[in-house]
Amino acid sequence: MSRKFLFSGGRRFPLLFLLLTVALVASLFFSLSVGASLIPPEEILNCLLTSKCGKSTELILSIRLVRTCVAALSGAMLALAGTLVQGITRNPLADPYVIGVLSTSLATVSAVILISPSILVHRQVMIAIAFVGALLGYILTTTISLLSGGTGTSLVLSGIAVSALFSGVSHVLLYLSQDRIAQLGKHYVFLLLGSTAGVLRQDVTYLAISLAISLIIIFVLGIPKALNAYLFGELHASQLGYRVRTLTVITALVSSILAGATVAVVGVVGFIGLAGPHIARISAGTSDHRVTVVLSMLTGSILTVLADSSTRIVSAFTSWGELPLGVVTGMIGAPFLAYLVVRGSRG
Amino acid sequence: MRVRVEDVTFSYNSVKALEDVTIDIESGRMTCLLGPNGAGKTTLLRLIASYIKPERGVVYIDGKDLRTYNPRELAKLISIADPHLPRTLPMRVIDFVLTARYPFQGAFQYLEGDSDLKVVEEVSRETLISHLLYRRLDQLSSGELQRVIVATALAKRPRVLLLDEPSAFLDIRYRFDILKVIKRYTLTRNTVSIIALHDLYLASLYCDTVILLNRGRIVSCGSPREVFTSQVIEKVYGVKVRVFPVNGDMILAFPLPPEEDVLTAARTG
Repeated sequence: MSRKFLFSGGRRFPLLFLLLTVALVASLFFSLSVGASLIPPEEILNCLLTSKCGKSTELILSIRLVRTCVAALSGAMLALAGTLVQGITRNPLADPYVIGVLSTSLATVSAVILISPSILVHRQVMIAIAFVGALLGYILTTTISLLSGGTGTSLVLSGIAVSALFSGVSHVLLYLSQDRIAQLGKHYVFLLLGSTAGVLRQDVTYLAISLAISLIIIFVLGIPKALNAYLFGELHASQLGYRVRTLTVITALVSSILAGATVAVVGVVGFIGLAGPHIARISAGTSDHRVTVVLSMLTGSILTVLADSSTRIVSAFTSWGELPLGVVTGMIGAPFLAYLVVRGSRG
Repeated sequence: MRVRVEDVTFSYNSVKALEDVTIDIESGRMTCLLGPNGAGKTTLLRLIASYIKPERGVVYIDGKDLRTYNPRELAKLISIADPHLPRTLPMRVIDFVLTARYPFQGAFQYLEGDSDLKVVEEVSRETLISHLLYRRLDQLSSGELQRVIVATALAKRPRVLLLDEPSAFLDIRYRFDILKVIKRYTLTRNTVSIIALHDLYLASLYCDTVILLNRGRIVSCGSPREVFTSQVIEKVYGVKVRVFPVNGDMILAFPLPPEEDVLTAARTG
């Protein structure tokens, strides 16, 4: 028996990993080829691998490449943050948005934009501010939750309260500063609902660095295993030698880095943080974090890249302009999630 | 291997849960903690597991102060199991049992080794859960779940085994089976086994030493024959007990309903 499975949660892991990677690569190509002008896949390959391609194609492609990379990275980061948050709350309903982290992060960013709109251009500062906001949001939500009993339900409820309050605050703040944001060529709704339009080349670097830092912390400290132990209660985690308080604090910190960085670059994109982990978990048939941490990044990435491509398809074929990303993620991901939930509950 | 608890006092928010408790527990024997709800059984187990720290007093394992062990050492040495298991996120039985092997794996080891899988295979055979390994935890019956919890406690191959109500929710057959498994493990591996139980009958049948607690203090300690005297049980539980001697040293203890007329009331409806 001992050689029949690779490791506990991993019987399906190699196959799933392969399938999802292929799907991600396919969706990346799809995303690069669709938009106002269609670029066939072989031309994309030509352009990327050799430098033999038309000037205009190269220009379009370089813009799309940045957008696609930002979408892929922020999707992976949101889903990863969702996996971590669901782990430390032991709550399948939790995600960075539900526990209030995204809203507080946006609220701090909006407050700073109101004071000094030119901050939009300084992405490192934005990321730092968004991170602090996310962290404050987590502290606020957990404090309210602890005051009301510290159960999973109380955490989600206090998260919803914090979310509602700070979405409201950020709406007001962004509304007040919309003229100044418009002067910088942005629409404030895109910060509220997320968009990859107007992202810059250096944003890819900032996101990649934030993701890399988070992954290093996660794997060096062995957080996936620790979260597995923690799922079975504090007593269980502590008898296995884990320091429960340290674990929750560090995991929250990492989730805040991930959520904060995406808010600073693409604004608030909902649903990915909830659906990414669930799709990973249901398809793997287990919540083993060693598996879901990796798979959820892939599922989150795929969902976000597809959602982002469809905003461009819509703007190419209609006169509506570009839809916010956060609106589309839900429409694309929800049916798939619903299908998996129904199938998953049947065992 | 021996565990010594010396003058230990512990309280939850100024409510005393244990007061000046001193006991010596030897290995290779089934030591059972008995007592009414709130007597301090769970608190005592958690103190020995170093999950909570005593307000006063010291716990020694093999003559060494518990506080001087590092967490990793303790994690390999002591297993503690609680009958209440959070199951909000879907995990499979094998995922849970394998967590018990984490303390034995290297700091950067991501996957289980063959030795871990072999232990799990052995344990699941001992505890009769081999057929459950790939089931989801939230789809088990409560009896199956208790066996999985005991299996996980044993999967550490602990030298000190602390079980809180391992027979809770089990049907009659599995109560016998699970205590037999624990007893066999205790004897063959010469562990210190401390088991909190509610069932006087099971305790009289399987325990070598019984520690009777009441309101955070030890009322009586000794063999079942010594502890299960009707006066002591009646004083602690407010319930009469009838003791039947069976072959040699063994006894069986049966609690009786508090008042005789309950039986007559039940009969007349």
